[in-house]
Amino acid sequence: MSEGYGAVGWNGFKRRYDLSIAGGAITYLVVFVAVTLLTRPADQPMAELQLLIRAFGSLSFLMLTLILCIGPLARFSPRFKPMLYNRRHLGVTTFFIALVHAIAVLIWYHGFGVIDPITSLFVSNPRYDSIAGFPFESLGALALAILFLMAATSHDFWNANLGPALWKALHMGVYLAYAALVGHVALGVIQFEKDPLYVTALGASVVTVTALHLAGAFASAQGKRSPAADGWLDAGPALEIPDTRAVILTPPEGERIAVFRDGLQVMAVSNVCRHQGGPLGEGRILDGCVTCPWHGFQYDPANGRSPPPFNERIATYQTRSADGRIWVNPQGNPPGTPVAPTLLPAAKADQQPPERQP
Amino acid sequence: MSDDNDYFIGYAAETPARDRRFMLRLGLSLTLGCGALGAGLAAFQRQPGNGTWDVEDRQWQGVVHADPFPMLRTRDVDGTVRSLWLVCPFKCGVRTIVSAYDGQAVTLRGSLIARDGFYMLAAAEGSDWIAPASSTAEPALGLPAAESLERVTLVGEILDMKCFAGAMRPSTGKPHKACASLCIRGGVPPALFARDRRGAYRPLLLVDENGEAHSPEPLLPLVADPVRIEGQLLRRKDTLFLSSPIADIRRT
Repeated sequence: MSEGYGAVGWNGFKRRYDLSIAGGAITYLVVFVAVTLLTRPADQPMAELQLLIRAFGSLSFLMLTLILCIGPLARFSPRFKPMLYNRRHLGVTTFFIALVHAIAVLIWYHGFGVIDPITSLFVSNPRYDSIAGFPFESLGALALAILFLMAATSHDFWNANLGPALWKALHMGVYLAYAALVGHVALGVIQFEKDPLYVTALGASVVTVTALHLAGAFASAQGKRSPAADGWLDAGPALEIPDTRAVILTPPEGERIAVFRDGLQVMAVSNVCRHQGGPLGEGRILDGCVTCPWHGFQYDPANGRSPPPFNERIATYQTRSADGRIWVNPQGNPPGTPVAPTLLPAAKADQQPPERQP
Repeated sequence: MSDDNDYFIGYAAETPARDRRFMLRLGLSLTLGCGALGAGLAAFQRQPGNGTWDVEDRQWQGVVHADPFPMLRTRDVDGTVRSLWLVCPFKCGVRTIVSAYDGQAVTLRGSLIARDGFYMLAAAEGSDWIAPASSTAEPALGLPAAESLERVTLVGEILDMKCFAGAMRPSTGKPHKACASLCIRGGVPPALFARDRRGAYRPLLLVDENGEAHSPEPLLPLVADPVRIEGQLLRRKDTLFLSSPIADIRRT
């Protein structure tokens, strides 16, 4: 539920999730190898290691594309949230698949020469001043280094000790890794393989990732509220906030705010989970606690504190009700500050919309 | 099922039925998609070329020559004289060793790399792969004189002959650039991989304007890039050479 890092607590879902990752990756590798072997003329077999370099390299790019699509997809449909959960397993697997690709490349293309493989990686193509001739290997090395940092710090131990802000910033490096990998592919194998399928596949990855993130950013911007004269933000009619759910406000400055209704009480807290920055406003109140949809971290909305023995804290916000509408003071209280909930009249609460049916 | 039960919590023992069904369908779709994409990307790869490397070391006899590149002149089983270009087992040449035996009859151990009538021997590992033969050098196995053909301007790609002949498949293009550069830096003969008048690809060993091996360093930035070379076509029996100064090699 909250901080207290240890070995992975396996359950049925996590096992199925990881089995699916392994199944998808093995399917891709087996099919790629089998089809390559079957479609080459008998007198033109591809060298085995070169075949594996291509299989593992293309798979790692495909997996990174998938990883980057999960976040925006989960924003548009809660059904994708289980995929978001344990996305780190997908990320760590991607790193190891990319590592196999990189080791095979170092051995095959840069090994057994008169200079050492690492030096060869960076000096064998000196055309750093050219776009078409750019040494694409260095972009791949950059992406691998970032994926390594992310995989090495994926455990909650690092999240807790680096601090959520630094940890999040470090893991935002995935976008730099993706950009480097796009360059690695575009300036590397795409310049050799002439079939339009390869350019199309690369373009589809870039367009999909970019479009999903732009759509997500646009959706977030839609929630931006202008403050009233006293600086408070209008969160809309109280009864339009589904019970145990939240509406999310985007103030002119600062973090977004999640305004929860729990029966007759309305409370506002930071929308940003202290664990991995998950969107608390997309979660719900369970057992009296705001529960993050990403990994289940919980906070008491009355004071922004995780229930004992945990000690994470998030900012709380003052709320008030006027003419059935909820207003929020965007000047947040220090994390963990108790704040009085806004109480709704019982008669009005009785008029609340019926529970949503599945 | 209530809405409460529908809320996914990753650490919970039970996954809501709706999420289970969705993830099952999504997992199957992604697996099938992975398979389809893997099949497509694999099927449309360029053909890698038809070189072969018989990695079993065999005994060879003939006369070795050090220049312009180390070679063994030997008789095939049918009596045909062939040139077998010599390299080390890895990404390097053997000029220093072969120079000690220049023009002499030798026996040596190595594995055959062959492609489209071009033959190369990768020396066996260790230092005792070559030894003087008891016989004298047969005159027919001497270094063939260079026959000057015509001046040509050719467009193609500079690569190393070992990878082209079968050490790697594919052995051309940007992905192979670093390897070709490493091989040429180590002393493997460089060649221009160009189309002839009939449109077929063939390699021409690159030598300088004096017919000698180029110094590798100036060639390295040009390796695996599309280049145009203006030079003199030479033939030494079964091997074609393109002779030009480095300055006449330009990127296209």
